[in-house]
Amino acid sequence: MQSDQALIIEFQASSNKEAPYTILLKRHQQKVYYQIKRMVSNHMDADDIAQQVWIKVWNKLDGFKMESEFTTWIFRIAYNETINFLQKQQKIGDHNVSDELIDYEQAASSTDHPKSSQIQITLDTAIQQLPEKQRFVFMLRYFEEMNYEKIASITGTTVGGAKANYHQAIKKMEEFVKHA
Amino acid sequence: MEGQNNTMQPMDNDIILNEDKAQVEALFGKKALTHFEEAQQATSDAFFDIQAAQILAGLKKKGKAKIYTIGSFRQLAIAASFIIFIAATYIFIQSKKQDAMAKVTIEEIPTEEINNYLVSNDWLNELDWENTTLKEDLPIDAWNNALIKDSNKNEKN
Repeated sequence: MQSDQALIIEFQASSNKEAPYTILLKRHQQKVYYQIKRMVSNHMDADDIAQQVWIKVWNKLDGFKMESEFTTWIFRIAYNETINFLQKQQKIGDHNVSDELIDYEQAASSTDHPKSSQIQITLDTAIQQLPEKQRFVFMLRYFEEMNYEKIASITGTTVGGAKANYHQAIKKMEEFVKHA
Repeated sequence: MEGQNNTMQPMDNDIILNEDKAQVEALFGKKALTHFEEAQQATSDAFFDIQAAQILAGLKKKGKAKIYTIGSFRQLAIAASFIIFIAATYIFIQSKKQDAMAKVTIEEIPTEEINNYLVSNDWLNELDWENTTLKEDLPIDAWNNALIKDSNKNEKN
């Protein structure tokens, strides 16, 4: 199996860019989509943002200098695209936690999961009320099990800043559970 | 010692990761968190194949559109410069012609042509050239008018 680095070199050197790009796309598209979906909750929005991310990868991969891992770079693009999307939604007043909860419950029920319990609804609401950056850091740490160095590179902060973001997120969720 | 440090660091990271995860699991329980993640990953089997196909099709379409735009722009630019060239050549030739006409002197006109002109305009022969008062520096139109006046005067007399 060709490494990401070998595929990027092939992409940058050859005129037939589609072959190495398709391998990279198929290798990483699930992780990118899941991270975006955790942030926006809505499938259609997550799909749109993920497609935007991959179009940016195509446009900018020639300039990628391999100073970081490809996954760090692509998650950074995904982070920027997702934050932009959420901020635009907030501006037009479209962002609504209750809508996301309905979406979450529909997704859960459509896949033969047992009906969402109270604790699951509390968890989802607790996650949604987190500030975007803390939420993104929490998802990367808990679900993607990334180290703080990588999270710091993705979110454009220091390692200390990434750790602080994660622990602040836990603290906020703890307070939310207490008052729920 | 160095090798020990290298193996210790990932282990330390794992311990820290487990501690971080345990804090959240203590709040909501591992089951709820697993359920949350399953809900995020709930997509149809073909979703990722369709998404990949859509992305690749979108890129191809974008690429083609780009080439078409550049092509039509180039065609327009070539057509515009061709029209400008033709127009400039035409204007240049016309101005050269006018210059050539303006520079013809009486000496350059063949005698035969002057005779033909006088035959077809025989009233000019009846003019009393000696009594006609003309200023040498009159413009050609005024000169003609003066000749016509004199001719009319002669007719009345």
